[in-house]
Amino acid sequence: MEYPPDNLLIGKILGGDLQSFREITDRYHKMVINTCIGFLHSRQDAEDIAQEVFIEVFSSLKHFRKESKLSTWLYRIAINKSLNQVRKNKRWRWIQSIEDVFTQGIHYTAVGADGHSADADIENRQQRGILFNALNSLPENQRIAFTLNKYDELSYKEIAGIMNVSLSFFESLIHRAKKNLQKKLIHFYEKR
Amino acid sequence: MNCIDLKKKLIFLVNGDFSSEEEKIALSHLDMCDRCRTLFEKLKTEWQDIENDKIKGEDKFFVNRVMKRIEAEESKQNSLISLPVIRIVKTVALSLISAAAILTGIILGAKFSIQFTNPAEQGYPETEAFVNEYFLDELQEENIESILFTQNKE
Repeated sequence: MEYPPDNLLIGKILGGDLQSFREITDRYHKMVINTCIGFLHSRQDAEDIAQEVFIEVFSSLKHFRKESKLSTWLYRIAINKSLNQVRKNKRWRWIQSIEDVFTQGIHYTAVGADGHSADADIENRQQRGILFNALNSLPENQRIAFTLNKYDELSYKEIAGIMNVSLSFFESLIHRAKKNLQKKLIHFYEKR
Repeated sequence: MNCIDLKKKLIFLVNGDFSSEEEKIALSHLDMCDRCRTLFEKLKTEWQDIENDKIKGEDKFFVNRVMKRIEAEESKQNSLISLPVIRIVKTVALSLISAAAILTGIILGAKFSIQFTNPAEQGYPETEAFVNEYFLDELQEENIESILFTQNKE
């Protein structure tokens, strides 16, 4: 089945055709959600941000200059919104850590109906948190490079286009990202 | 390949960035080294977590959720009371409440203030007697001054 090209759909959306917008959303939502998951590591947050991406596309489509592909534009919006959310989450965690001082950091562990505590789930999440913390600690450019490569499975050339850098610069960036990530992970494993 | 060399490149092995020859050498080292193999397995698990995080299928209802939010945003913008008006009303209301609070404070303060008066006027005879005994009033000072002036002249 042949899908209409993006430029045709864009023209129709600008003419007020909502069905074309639904088609664009349908076509790219998985890609946008996976990009957001790469930064936020929470499906719920990623979905919320992905919705905001498409809302922004709907309101700003008239400003889209068509100098790049629509998917490139979508990736850039998704990255910006995800990174903004990451910064917001960091501020919120800082506030919660102050709250912990007053509540003495008391946390209650949920116990399921079968009496099994949620500790196992917490440990599992903590284990996964090691990778996410390591990713979060990368410099922004390296983080974007790694996320687009790993979560979106884009080619180096495509990612360099999205990030507006040369291919050689991107190759060096992704190499440094992987090395830094490995350093942090291995340092953590060897400490345990 | 020794442990130090392999540890520097482990992530590239996990990611499949090695050439087939390099991979062969690395895997044969892993067969012999428990420590490196443990690290390799842990990194591989992390990589698998990334794959598990991604959504695989299409979400048929995502589009509906987006359209609902767009409709909600549009109806908010079209509402009679627009956002700037709400902001102005909020600011004015807060200012009026603050002014009323300050005024209330002033009125209450004026009503219940303590009056400070001259104790002598309130009539404290003991104090008056003490003052009269140990301190000269102006009339008494005049006599003493005239005596002193006369003495100096002499």
